[in-house]
Amino acid sequence: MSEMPASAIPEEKLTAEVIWMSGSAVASCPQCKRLFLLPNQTETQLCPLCHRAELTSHAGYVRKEAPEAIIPLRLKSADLQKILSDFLAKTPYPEADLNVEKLMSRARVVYWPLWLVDGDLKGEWTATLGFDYQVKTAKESFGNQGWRTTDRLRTQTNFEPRLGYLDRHYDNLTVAALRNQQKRFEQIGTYEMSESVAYQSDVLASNSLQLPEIEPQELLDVAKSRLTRLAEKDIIQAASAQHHQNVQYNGDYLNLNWTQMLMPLVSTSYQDEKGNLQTLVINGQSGKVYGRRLASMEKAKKWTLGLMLIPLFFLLGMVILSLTGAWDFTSLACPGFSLLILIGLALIPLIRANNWNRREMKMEEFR
Amino acid sequence: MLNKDDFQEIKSALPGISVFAPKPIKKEESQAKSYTCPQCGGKLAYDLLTSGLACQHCGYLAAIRAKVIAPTAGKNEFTIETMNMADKGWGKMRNLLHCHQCGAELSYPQGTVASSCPYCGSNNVNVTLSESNLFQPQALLPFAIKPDQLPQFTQAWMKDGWMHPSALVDSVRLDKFIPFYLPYWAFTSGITFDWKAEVAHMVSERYYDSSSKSWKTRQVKVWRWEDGHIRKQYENFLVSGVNSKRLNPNLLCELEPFDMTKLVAFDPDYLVGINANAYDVDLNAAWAEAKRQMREEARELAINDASNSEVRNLSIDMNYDSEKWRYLFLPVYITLYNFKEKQYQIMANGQTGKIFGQKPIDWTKVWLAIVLMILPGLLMILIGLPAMAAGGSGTLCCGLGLILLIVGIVMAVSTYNKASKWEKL
Repeated sequence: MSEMPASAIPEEKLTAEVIWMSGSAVASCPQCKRLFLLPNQTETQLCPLCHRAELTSHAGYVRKEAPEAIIPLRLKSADLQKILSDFLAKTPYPEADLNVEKLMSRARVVYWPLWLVDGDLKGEWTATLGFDYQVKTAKESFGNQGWRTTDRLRTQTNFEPRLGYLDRHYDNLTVAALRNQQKRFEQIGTYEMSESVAYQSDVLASNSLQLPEIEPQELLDVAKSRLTRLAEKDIIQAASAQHHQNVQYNGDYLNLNWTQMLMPLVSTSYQDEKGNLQTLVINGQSGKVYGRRLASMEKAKKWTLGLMLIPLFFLLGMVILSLTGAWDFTSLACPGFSLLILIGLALIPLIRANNWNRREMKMEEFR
Repeated sequence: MLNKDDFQEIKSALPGISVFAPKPIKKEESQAKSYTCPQCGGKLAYDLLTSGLACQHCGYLAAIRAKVIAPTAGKNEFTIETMNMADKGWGKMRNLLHCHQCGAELSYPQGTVASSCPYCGSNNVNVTLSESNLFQPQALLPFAIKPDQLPQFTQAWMKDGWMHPSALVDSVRLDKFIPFYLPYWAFTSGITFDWKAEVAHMVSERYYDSSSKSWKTRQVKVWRWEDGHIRKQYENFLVSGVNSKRLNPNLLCELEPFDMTKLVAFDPDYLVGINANAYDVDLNAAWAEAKRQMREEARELAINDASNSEVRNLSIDMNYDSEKWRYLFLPVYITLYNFKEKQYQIMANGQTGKIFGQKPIDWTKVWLAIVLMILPGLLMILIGLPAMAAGGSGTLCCGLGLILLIVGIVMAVSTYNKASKWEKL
């Protein structure tokens, strides 16, 4: 891991010349404003996350150290195909563009970043810690047999002051590198960080890397707060306490070192009936899919019309027959009512598709 | 702000983190303290008149620095360790006096040559240095009543009541009250319980009386289920640490209440020259007794909580919370007197001066009173009966006599019970 502290991060402008990303280029999406490190610049390509605009070359700040760790893409092509197929299975009257083959053809793998912070904490701490102990008590019951006593043990907590010194090193504390990281985790689910491996340079040869949106300088307070919380947990454990109140650390945060961890996601898109582009994203580790799967209102209308025509035809025939006197008008009531119900039921596909789309549109767009 | 000097390092479960905990409060070593007069070398003793340590030879007086403690201070919980210790003891060496007649174990001041047992008056006693498995008292109530105030209190108490021998006040001289610290267990606990019972309700009911062929109204008892939830907090619930065979618990109950706001932290100085009884009812037994009394009170509370006191199928589920205990010394004066070759015990609350004890009963007086109570009614019936037989107006006399006889019998039974209760004390 690099020894460079956060405060000494170089301000130099680097585009594609640093060793670990040699041959790569920084590009930005004019639509979603995200920055990417791309394998090469020879061909123009669509934004791998929003799929709405072509990426343009951009002068961005890129750290000279290679990422420290990467969570490998676990999904193979067949897995992805099955995941998408399962995801779309329940969609009623799927739009023409919303099918597995087309989605697979547009699928892009993107690695997105998370900061890893290492640091040393040295200082004093004070706390009020709670220790469990047991006391003997009893439960009494009175009934026809008189009093009956059952002895019991009750757990109580005794809070006592403690203080001490802390001198510990903390490794790989994760801190958000994107402004909407929490939202992204909510949408595609979290990653099992323990499965991360050391960064392999060949990842960049064929995939895009989303670049951090927040630099370490902005995140110093967040990192310190997270480190303090880790230290608090350790303090409680060191004192063999079960509860805590007012754990306070008063000391230094030394040798803070920032590196990145990359996490995989697969992004694809389709065009809905209104011509809007809808993005679907898949967690590259767990396979969790996020995105709107819209039903085709046109298909639903055709189904409705088709189903409506048959009873309508019979109804019209019956009316004509009764007008010509071939069928008694009074005996038309019962079958006529049944046919009217069938005409009403024919609306089901349209209602279903409409409700489905309304629910899907409530989902927030992937950010 | 925490003062680091008050902390000491303890074992840490993680490397890189040192842990300091408060230093345990050092208990003063129970060294043999010399209670000799710095002026003349004579013996010092706790002086009840001045509430200090006084030399009986030269009059030297040293005040005791009373450390008044909060009524709730120094309470212990029923931890597993404590309960085990209550069984096994703490292994302290104490000077004990053993009475061969009543079996009392008494903690006497060092160097005292005890001559008699204050409970039974026996002089068949000996002092031994023995290992005692007893708790140390945490607090005590100092004597607030001077010994010279007691004769007047006792005189008034002796005169009180008509059923005692007339010669009692003149023949008994009570001038030697022994100040004594009695062991008490003070318990704090909350009880919470849910009760459920069938409660009797009287309701009016209309019914058809076939004999009179009419609708009538009568009162009938119906049982309705009721339930409730009650919480009660006990503070300083006292249970005597003295075996009930030696000190009548009824006698002790009559000495209460004690003002617990005057409690001071235990200091051996208070015991110099004053007798103290080590407890012989241990913590577990005392707590069991306290719980028994709390249970019974809970039952009464549940019945009182019902809309009518006539209940059946009462069931209660009760839990204790915040149970704590303290071992206290409470001040009493004890004296014994003889009347017609029988020994009686009198006790006085050393804080309030309340007197209670045993008094002989003059049964001649009691029986005479009983006869006098019954006689008027009986006489009136005897007078009224011949008049009735002669066809005169004896009915009124007989009726009045019967009422007087019933009242007399009730009063006689009450008097007899009262006399018996006194004698049983």
